[in-house]
Amino acid sequence: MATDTQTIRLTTSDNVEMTVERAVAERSILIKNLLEDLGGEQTESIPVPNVAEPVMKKVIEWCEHHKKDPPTTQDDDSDSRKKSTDIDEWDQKFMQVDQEMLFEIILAANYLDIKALLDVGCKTVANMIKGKSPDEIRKTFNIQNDFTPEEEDQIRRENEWAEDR
Amino acid sequence: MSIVTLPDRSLKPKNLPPSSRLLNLPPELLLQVLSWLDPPSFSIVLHVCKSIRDHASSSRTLLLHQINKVPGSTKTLNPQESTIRLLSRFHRRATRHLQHGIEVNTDLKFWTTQEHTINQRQSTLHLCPCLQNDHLWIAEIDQKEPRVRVYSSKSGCAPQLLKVLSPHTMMSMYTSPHEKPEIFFKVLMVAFTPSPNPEKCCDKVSVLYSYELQPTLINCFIEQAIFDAQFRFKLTTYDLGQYPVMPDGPNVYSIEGRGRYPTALITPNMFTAIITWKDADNSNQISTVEYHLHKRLKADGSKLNPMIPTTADGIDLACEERINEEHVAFLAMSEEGEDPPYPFTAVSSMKQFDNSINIYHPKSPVPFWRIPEAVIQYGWRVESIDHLPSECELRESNGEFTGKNVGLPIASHHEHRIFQHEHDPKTFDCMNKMLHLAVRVTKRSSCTITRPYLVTALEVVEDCSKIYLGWNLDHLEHRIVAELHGMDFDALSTLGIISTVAHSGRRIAMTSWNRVFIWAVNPRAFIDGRKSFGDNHEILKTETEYRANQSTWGHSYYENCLEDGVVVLNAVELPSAGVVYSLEFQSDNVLWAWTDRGLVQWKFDRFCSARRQTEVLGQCRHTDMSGPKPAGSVTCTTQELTDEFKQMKRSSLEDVEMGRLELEPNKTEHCDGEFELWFEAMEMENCESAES
Repeated sequence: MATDTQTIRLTTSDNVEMTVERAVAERSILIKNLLEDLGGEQTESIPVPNVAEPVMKKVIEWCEHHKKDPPTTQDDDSDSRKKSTDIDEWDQKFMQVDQEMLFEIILAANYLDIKALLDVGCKTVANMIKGKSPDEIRKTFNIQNDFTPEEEDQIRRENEWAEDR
Repeated sequence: MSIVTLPDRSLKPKNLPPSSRLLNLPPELLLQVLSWLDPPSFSIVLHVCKSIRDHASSSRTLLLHQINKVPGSTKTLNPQESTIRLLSRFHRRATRHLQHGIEVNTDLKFWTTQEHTINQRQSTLHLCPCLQNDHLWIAEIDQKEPRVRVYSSKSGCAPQLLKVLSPHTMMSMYTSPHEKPEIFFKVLMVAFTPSPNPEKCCDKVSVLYSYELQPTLINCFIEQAIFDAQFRFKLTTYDLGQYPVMPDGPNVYSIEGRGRYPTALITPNMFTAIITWKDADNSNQISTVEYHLHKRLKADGSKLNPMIPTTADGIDLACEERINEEHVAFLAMSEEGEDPPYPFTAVSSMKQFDNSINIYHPKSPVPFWRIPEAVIQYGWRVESIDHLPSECELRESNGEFTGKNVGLPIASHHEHRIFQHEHDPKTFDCMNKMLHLAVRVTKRSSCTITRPYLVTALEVVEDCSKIYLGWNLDHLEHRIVAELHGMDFDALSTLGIISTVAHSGRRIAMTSWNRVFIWAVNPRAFIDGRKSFGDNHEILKTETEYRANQSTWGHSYYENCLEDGVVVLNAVELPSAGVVYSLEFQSDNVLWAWTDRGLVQWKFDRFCSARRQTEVLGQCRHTDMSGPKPAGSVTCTTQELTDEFKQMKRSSLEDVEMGRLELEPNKTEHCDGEFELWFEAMEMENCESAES
């Protein structure tokens, strides 16, 4: 039977092997389900082909900090009144990384199925958008404005007819 | 045991440039990021690029999620609607509740003046009571020369110069324009007077002057006159319907001002002027109110009702005699024996509300005193004007305000025949509801804490009589229905708070120094039963049931704004445009201000896109006809003013010739009213360009 101190090994996309406490690794639903499916003690290293070592280190750091958190429920997802600024102070500091790393963390969280980390990542990006003008958003994420002036004008007017009460 | 390989589900393209990471997220992740945005940011992000817009506008789940973050009736929301309609619905709701990114997208327009002598602090804005085309009057005070330029703006268009007011149009009637002027005026304040016909525009402007005599001939009598002139003010009324505009001779009143200084002026009708004063030495700053009633008498000596005009202009001097009555009243800061909530200080402004006058203390966003309708309309004397109960008793259990009146009425609603009469089941009672902006002031050991609220009042009537916003509602029970958050009322500058409410009641704006905040309100959500209760409206059958649910009015509509059982409305801060001296809504989405940077217009309708424009106000071209003049001297004469108009007329005709402006040919033949035509044409042109 698996215990809290049991460890597993993960091999990242750049072929680096990392030893992780099982309880920490099980923050990832993907790994958790896999371990459950395999059953017994896992001796082989589990390859994680889409996550490089630096990103995996960050993900494991987050999982270690949050290993005692209760698992997320459906109710959390349906709370439409959640504000994007509601990020835990530790998580805010954790997410103070360059954009490259931030999006890698989001992709890794999505791949590894770590819902809470994915939310923190998406909220951080949302906060980077918040309060900015379209031009500032384009500059922040280096996006090209591909609207023609006519299209911009059209966008402003296209919904004018709509009725709402 | 075999080596397991996790599936490669990542959609991450290889070797992406770091700059495009957001757009290269898998669509479901991009939508997840967008779902965390608040409605203003979501509105803005739709304008960033096609890719984001396409993803966002094609996801029904995301659009419904964002719509649900904006207040609105859930009844009208159909989840099966097309994404195009859902996107439209989101835009409409977001615009209505100012959640379309106006912090960033508001259009800001400055009107500067060529002269550097404009007194922005005393220049005024006045929403015309005619309420046609959102008509706004703008008075610009030139502090070097005693001129007031009167502009008119309709439908958010650029202000058009209508009149230039100068006391020398009058003086030149009595002295030669070539003589050196001996009286030097200074404009202190301006007030617009509503027409006796409420459907017509303001037809008069009153200007309060101080003046100084500099006669060439000096003797002991003249010396005394020079000394006395320091303490006298002239209140002059100009008729805006005349061309060239001239003050009405009998409408120049001399007001004694020894030891005091005017702080606010209002002219609620053509017979009444109300001035508030503060002591000039600042030792005792309790303001007094002085109201001047210029009553008319018939030849037989009986008084005419000043509110009913007798002729088209309301004046028939041949059979009437004018008399002046000056009443002085003192403003009470608190009930006797009570601690005043605010320190004694001068009045900040006065505003007409229905037929009563609201007087504002600089620390309060709602009126602190009110002069009742009867005082103005029927000339009742009062010696002391009671303050409104700013420190309301707030019972935590049911959120009830008590007091004679509670702040600033925003909207009223009449619900017709909704209860069966208690004793006669065959008849039905009606219900009046009122929404107010109110503040609660609490004094702590060393500071005063002011918190703004929306409160409602309810009244059941048997005779189907409606309620009016200007009525005193001290007999009604008021309950808190919403809190206004987002502005710090406790750290104010010496200018205090300046507040204004849009005529529709859907916008409340407040400013402190250079920060301007707006709250979007849907009054119907709080006082119209169908909106305030949603589905529960049908089951509330008795007055008791309505009263019991009074504090939950609006919960259905503002479901997503509920915090601890109270609707919380957060302010939106507009882009700063300098230190604000006066503020007025022209319409729900157009706000004007006089600031230290000039005249400013914020426009935050659905088409706003962070435009910044600077224009010259009025484009007046006048000729300086005289040589060096002492400071404060008068430089314009009737001739000069006429020249100014002629110049404007010439330029307008040039515009017509150049094809920039089109006038109907048959109308250009008439000399009379040519300028009016020109202004109308300019307004139409401006409106068209604004729309396009």
